[in-house]
Amino acid sequence: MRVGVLGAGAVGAGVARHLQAVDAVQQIVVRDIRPSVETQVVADLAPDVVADGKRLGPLDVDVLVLATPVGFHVRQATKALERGISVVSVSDSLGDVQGLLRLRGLAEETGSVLVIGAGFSPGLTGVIAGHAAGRLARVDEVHIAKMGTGGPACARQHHRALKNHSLDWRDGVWTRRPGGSGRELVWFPSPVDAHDCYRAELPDTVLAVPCFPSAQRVTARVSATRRDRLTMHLPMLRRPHPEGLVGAVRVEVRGELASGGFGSIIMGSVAAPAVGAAATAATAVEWVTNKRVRPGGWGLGQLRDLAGFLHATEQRGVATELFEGLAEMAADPAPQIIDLRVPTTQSIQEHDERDDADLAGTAKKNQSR
Amino acid sequence: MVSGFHESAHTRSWDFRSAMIRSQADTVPVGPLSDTGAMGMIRRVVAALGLGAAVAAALRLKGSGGVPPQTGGWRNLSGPDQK
Repeated sequence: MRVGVLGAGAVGAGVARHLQAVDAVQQIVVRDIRPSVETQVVADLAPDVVADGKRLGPLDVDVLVLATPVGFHVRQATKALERGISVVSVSDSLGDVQGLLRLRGLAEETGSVLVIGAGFSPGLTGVIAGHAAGRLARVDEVHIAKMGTGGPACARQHHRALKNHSLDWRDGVWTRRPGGSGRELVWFPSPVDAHDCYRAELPDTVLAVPCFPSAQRVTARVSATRRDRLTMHLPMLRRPHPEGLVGAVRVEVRGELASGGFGSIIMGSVAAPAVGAAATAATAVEWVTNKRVRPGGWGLGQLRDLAGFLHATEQRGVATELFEGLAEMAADPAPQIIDLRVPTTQSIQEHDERDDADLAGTAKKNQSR
Repeated sequence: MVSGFHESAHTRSWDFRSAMIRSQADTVPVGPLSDTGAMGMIRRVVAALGLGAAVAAALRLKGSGGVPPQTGGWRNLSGPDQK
């Protein structure tokens, strides 16, 4: 099969690199609006990766990966789907994702596959959420958070998302909340650890809600610094970095446990966001080329064998982690119950005896000094 | 002798100037005219709003932090655990 990659930035180049190792992919055609970038990627990854030397016009491929900046994905996907080409989009723009969701019918009609939001977040977060939900009897809440940005286009999108309203799912209705509000200290896997995360215009909720019909609350947050929030309504004051440093995603799924009672399953992943997005998108392409995805439009959380998907991304260097402790406490069929009843005379007496013993011990220590 | 005047060579000119300013200030009308009426009210409202906005912005940006997890930790999910 021939796979086309539109956009040879941090994510596109990574996808092309991963696809070299996929047996079903014979050739990868890269196209970028910047000739120097395209030439560099082809020089690094030849002979499997080639450039078609055109800036415009359709690509003669079987699967097309859209790794271009946000805003163009719907038009590019429409043209490809009309020609029966399967599409994998890594866009993390709410507008793009909503537009792509409207193309599901077209994908079904043409017998092609449309994978929507196949990046680090959305993308891997959807897979993790679906996988974590498998440990619950019923899902009540899904909370997604991400930290870090990939290439410059991703950094611009982060800035844009923060100043726009979020789209949260609350009690069965969509709710818009101002971006930059709703501070929450989110504990990501090490070495990222704790970061304050805020509401933003993120597409994760739109893709997650259809996967969890019983969910009453689905939210998505993104980490931001004070400078990000202070300047979010202004144009970007500094040129974005070429590629972000380490980032992370965290997914918390709450609901009814299979063993009874309620609890949370928390999973996450640490990687440079562009690396995570490339590994996820490459795995999605592999799934499509191996006919493991039915024709139509899908978020990654709707795929089958999510454990297999996570295993494949792990093989590409992006591992998933489980937060233990809280999850185990929740999974305990007989959790510890805090006794809030009025203390009995016996319990008060026992408490006083313990206090007396402590005081006696302290007095002995003081005397020995 | 003008108030503020000293014989020291180093401070002579400075003290003389301050004394002159003080004597000029005595001739400027002060009192109710300077801070009453509409302008005074507007100034106070603007100052109060500005102060309030500054305090609100500082509190919003500063935040109140949070509580880290007291137990547990992250473990790599691989192999049979993924199932």
